Amino acid sequence: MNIHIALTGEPVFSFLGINFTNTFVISIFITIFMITFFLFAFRKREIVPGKMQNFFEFILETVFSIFDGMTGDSKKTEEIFPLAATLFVFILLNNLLEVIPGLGVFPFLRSPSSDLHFTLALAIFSMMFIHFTAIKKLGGVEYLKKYIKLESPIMAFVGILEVLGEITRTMSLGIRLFGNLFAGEILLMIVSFMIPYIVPLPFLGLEIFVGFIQALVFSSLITVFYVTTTAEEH
Amino acid sequence: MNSIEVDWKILVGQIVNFAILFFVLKALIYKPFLSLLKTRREKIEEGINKSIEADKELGKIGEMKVDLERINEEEKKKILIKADEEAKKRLEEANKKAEEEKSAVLAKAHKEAEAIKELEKDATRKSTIENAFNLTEKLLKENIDEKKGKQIAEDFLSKLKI
Repeated sequence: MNIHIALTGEPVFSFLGINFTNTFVISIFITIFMITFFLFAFRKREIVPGKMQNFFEFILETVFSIFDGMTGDSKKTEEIFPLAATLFVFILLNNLLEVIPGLGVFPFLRSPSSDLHFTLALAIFSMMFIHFTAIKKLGGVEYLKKYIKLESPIMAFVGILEVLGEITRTMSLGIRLFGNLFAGEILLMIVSFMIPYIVPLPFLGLEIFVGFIQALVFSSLITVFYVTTTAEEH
Repeated sequence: MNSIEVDWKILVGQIVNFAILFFVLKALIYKPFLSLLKTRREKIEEGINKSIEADKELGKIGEMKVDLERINEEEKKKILIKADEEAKKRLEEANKKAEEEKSAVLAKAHKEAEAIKELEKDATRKSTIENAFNLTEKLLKENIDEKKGKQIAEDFLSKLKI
């Protein structure tokens, strides 16, 4: 019996010249679900919250305090919090999809996190957001000084390395998430294929943990990159 | 297993998908949420500051109350001492006045008694002289012996006793 493993998602349908893969479709569904859920959860905005509002605010405040601990500056946390929190919840939901029976590295249903397009897209968008915010905050000249250093040839080379560093940061962010989730899905699939009963359970637990950790790692790294990129040079 | 091939259209589609999610949540959820948190934090800080101010004011009022009580107590003592002194002074004055009035009344009474005594003396003298004249007149009118003379004198004296 052969196991079909594809590195990217399987095309489901084509629209306007774009091949909608299974991972892309699922990520669109998750986007719609998240928007609907958040709008429902935060439909009431009272100064003195009710039980429901209090519960959802508690979750967001906990996430906020985690990122606040990383930035050490509540103003910067307020700036990066929307991106970091969205990334955390979005990646977590996508990661947890892989433990749902029927979803895996199958031709039709597949967790978006195990597709490089999805993880790279998140990394590219996040890094673009960070750099645009840095230009807005520091000003174009100050921002360029981070990468174009004309004090000496060595410093100029350091500037080039900084640019390369930014590209590799983006790539590593995307590939790290993809690698972890893809490997996890393959592991689950192989274990389930070899011994279908009971044995896959610990691996499912492990994958839930890995999914949570990877979501946290991704959003934490984005927070740290934001702090370092928007920091003024002395 | 195939090699990794990046489909740029899907990549851009995924970026747009996440961008929509991010900007919608940022505008409709995170911004109001952060502003709500800020407002709440400000309200809590304001409440705490007001509470601290109120505690300070309460402390000041307590101190003022103690001061006022102390001042009142001192004032009360002063007023009592003053009233006591005044009462003593008035009592002394009243005693003195009474003494003076008593002396004046006594002196007046004494004077009046002396005057009455003098009047009595005068009246007695006048009566004695009158009686003496009457007796002498009687004796001269009547030819009396020694025995009769005695009798007349005794009658006269008995009248005088009355």
